Amino acid sequence: MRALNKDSLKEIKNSFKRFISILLIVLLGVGFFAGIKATSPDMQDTLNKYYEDNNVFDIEIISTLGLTDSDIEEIKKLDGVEQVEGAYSTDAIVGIGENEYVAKLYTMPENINRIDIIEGRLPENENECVVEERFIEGTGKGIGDTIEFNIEDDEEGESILKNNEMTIVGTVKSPLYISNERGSSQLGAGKINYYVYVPKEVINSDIYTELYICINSENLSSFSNKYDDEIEKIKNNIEEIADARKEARHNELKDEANAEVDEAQKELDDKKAEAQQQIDEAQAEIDNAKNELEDARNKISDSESELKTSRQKANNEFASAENKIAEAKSEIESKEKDLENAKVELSNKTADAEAGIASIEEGISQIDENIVILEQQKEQLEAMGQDTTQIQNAIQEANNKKIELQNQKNSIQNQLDDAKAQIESGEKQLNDAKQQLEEQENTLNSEKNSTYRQLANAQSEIDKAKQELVDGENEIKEGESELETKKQEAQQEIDEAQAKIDDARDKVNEIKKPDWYILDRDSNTGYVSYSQDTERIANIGKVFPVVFFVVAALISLTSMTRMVEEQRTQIGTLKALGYNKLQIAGKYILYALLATVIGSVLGMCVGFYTIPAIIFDMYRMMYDVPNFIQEFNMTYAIGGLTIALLCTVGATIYSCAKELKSTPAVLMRPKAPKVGKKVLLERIGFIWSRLKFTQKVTVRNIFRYKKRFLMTIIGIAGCTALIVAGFGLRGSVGRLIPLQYGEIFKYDLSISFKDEASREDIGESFNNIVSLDEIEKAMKVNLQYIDILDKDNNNDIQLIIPENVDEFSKYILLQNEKTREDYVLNNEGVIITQKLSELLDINIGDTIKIENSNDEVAEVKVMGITRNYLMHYMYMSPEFYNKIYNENVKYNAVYTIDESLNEEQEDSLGKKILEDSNVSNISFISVTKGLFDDVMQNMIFVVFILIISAGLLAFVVLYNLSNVNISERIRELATIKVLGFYNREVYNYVGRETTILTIIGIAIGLVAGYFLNSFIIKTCELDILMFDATIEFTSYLYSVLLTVIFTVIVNITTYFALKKINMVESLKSIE
Amino acid sequence: MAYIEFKDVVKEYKMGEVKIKALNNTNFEIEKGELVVIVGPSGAGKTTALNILGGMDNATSGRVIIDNKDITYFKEKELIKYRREDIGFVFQFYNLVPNLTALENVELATEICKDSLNPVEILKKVGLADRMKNFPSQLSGGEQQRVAIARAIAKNPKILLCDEPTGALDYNTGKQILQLLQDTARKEKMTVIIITHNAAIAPMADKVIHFKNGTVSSIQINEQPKPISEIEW
Repeated sequence: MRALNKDSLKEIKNSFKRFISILLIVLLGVGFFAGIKATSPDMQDTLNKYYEDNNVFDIEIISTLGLTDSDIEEIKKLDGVEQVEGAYSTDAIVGIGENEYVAKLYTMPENINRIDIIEGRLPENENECVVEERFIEGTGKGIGDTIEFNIEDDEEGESILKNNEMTIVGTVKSPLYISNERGSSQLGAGKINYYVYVPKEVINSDIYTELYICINSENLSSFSNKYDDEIEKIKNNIEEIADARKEARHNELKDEANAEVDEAQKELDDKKAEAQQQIDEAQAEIDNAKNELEDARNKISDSESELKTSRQKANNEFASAENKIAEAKSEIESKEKDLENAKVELSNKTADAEAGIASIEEGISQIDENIVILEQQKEQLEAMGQDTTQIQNAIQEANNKKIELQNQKNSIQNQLDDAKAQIESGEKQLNDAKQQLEEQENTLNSEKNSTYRQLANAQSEIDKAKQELVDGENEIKEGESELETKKQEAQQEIDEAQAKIDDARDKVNEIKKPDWYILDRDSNTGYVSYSQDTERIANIGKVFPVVFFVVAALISLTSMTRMVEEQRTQIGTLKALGYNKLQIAGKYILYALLATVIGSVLGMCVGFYTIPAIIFDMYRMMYDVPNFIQEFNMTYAIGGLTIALLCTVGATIYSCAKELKSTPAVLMRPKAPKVGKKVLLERIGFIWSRLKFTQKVTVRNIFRYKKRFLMTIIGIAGCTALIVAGFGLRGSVGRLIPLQYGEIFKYDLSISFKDEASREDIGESFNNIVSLDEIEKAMKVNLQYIDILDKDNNNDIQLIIPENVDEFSKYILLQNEKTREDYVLNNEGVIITQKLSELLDINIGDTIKIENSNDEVAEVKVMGITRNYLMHYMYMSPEFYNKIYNENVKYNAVYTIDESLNEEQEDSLGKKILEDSNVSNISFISVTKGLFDDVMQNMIFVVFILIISAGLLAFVVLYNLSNVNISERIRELATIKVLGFYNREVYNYVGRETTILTIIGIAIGLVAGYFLNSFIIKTCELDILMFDATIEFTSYLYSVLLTVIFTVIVNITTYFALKKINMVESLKSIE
Repeated sequence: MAYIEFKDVVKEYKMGEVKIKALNNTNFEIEKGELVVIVGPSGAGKTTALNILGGMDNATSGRVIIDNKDITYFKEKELIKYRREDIGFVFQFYNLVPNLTALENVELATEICKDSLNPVEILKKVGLADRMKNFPSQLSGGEQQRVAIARAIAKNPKILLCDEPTGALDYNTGKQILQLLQDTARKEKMTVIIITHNAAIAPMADKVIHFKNGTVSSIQINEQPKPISEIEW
């Protein structure tokens, strides 16, 4: 190593404090520069990587009539197009408990816009879906739960989903949504709450709502101009084939529709024929019935005549039968008389017979006696053994005689019996005949009865048949009239159907050619705001490090000047030895170079890897982009180093240059003390004369060292400004919500009603709400999203129409942003919010074209611009709405002012209100406010960063100032110590200068802080926000206090450094 | 009792492990109103004696009594008070504050003293009536040293300590300065101690103290001090 370089390194050791102060300020400057500068590309890289990993679309095509597979085929053929994929998306209402959420349904992507699984798995069948994580957090549903989608049927009345109930099987993250913004919807409250992915198969459609296209753009950053050019080129290519594709789609749709209409016509014709047939059949039936009726009538008359004959016949028959009976009766009577005569004869004969019988019997008994005598004789004979023949003969003869007698008796008896039997049988016959007659008579009678009954029956049947006939006739009459009306009805129906078909045919002819919207990533709100934010950070990167670099230059200048001055003799000696200027300057340049390079490298290491991470962490609140990529950014590394080197080495060369011009002889002599000069203030006698001696000394000294003066003031001002900006930012962000929801939005609760709720329903619900104890008062409002057409607007603007414009100020403050005068809505025009007016450059008195949620357009005058901090609103009176749209406002929400409620009471109130089935959603202002605490936590972080960097700045500057002061003025300080200055006085001798410079620095810093704060806010502000840039007094106060504290800390070290100064320094000879 | 008494004063410096005795049993006395010249070669200990006398340093042992005050073991604050009120110091290189005018440089000292003299008067006395508003860089070396003397005298100190007051001056100017110092001692009845390596100026003093090897080698009293104009070297 060359001696001179060695000397340079030793110099570092000797003047380490000086080295460190240069190193530190370079570290700060480069660190901030590198860190903030690198944040923007780091964020861009991160998004690029994420988009690349998930293969996010470059171009999106949306058609008003849907897109088909053949569209995909055609687009695939285009140059530069790498992948094309169709997707279907639709909005759906998901009802969970009392709440309704609007979900955006997407079909599962195949290759483009791939989604990441966070938890669970992807859907495997038509009954499964995946949701975003926020869905789980927001709705309380979890994996495994089933949700129901409520989607309006399509134009043809077909349901869009094959099944509306699906089970959540996982949570996913879509690269299409990197911000918290979910977009707007026609459904529900008009905002999409969550996105949901469903299997393609569940969609009842073979067209796509959008096509996603990936272009061949390897390694091309989405943020580069080349990418934009490429996209533009391909968009033009698509534009070229778009017309043909639109035509094709148009024709296809027309053909389809025509076919459908034809089908309908055919169906109608068939139906017509069928109806005619039915009518004919009915007519035939009626005719049949008539014929039948005629037959019946004939039959009845036949029956009647038949009946008549029957009756005649019966009458005749009965009469003859009766005659016969009467004849029989008289016969019987004569027979009875005969019988009576026979009886009498019999009884006569009987007596004769009986007398005969008795004589016979006498004869018999004589015979019997003879026989017995004969017998006895015989026996006696026999006993005498004599012949008995004679007796025997005689007995025989007697027996014969007896038999003869017996026969005679029997024949008489028989004759008598016969006579008796004859009489008996005659009697019997008579009785039989009588009985028979009686029976006949009975039979006749019963026959008569039955016949007459039958006849009567027949008569009644005929009567009935006659009645039936009449009925039938009536029926036929009815049937005929019915047929007539049916005929007419059928005709009417047919006519109507025909009209419909004709209408449909007209409509088919009216089908417009579809419009294609060929969009790129700039249509993705998340992407747009993300890229805007990266630009904002890049802007901040332009200003922030400037103060550090300026201070670095000044510190280098003062330090190196001092160093060169101190080493005059050495420089002179070296010059005398024959070293050239460059070699001598080299020592100092090397010194500065080392400090700068080491400081820069350290600064880069810290800057590249901490600042982007911290900033990105804060953006994580708004963006959901994974895997932050941080890299050592060579461009900014070289840039930062170059600037730092320009500042420090430049300053070093400047400091050396003057001394190096001098000859060795001049250099080796002590430097002539700096010429004392009167300062301007001395010429203002009346002030100067009033100053105390020490004050005069201070004033002189301050103006003696201009570089130091500048360095200190810029450093301190920078410090104060950074702290002011830090507190200011925190205040601005922190006040946003309290201002918006305390000062502007004064209502406590907003209740929105379901779309389908009628005016009456809402009126009833409103009355119920007002009657609740917790509600102090309430007002109906209409909320709808509108668009401003004649401006380049991509913001959501909510239109609020209060029912009562006079009372409205109790709910929402409408106040001129500048004059703070209150507005009352009138029939002249609308009031818009401040940020909207700034973004779209709308002034009071301008006329703008607005489109309401029903796509109706109207021109309105802007009558006021109102103070507002969050989101964009437009206000108008209901009368004005009526005037411009010619329709009465349908109030769909209610703002309420509550009695003061605690959290629990609010919860129970909320539940009570949600019980009403007309209510779709409620939101308490207090809850919205609460959500903001997280944001504030992050802001405190920002403030800390700013305060720490400010503190470092102050330390480096003051430390350097103190070092330079002491080293340069050591003789002076030692001298005043010898003179007997107390330590305090010695400190004051230098410290007073620091104090005054600090005060000036603080004063400038407060002003600079105001502007820095405004600048940061303007560059950081999102489109939907407007920060109140005013800085609170306490912020200024804290900034001053902190700066003073930093100063005091450095000054305490200075105090001890001064105390250490050895008085012997005063005795040394001047080098 | 003498006005200034140095009794067995020892001053040791520690240079790492080694102890160096800068003063070794030094004894001398100076009476009030005396003009004393302390002479000796470099490293003889005269500057150390000056430092202790001027309240810039403490003795390691022995006693240093000034106007009946034992300053040997004064605390820092007491030493400052002592320097402030009792000592006027004239440096070899004047040590004027370059940013202050001649008058202001004098005022710098008088500001902190109770019984200070009028700076303007003093500057007139040292012959700088016309140069009061000039900055040091506008003054010659002799003029600067006059300002320095004026600054020292203006405090109305008990002792005026001068460290090689002519060391940076040419012969004639140096003579003028010494004359001024002698006059001051005589007219103002001030105790003036001049430290120098130039033994030639010794005859101007009432008392000459010779230093050698860290101690007083001899003390010589001039009954008839010579005026400066008569001294040549």
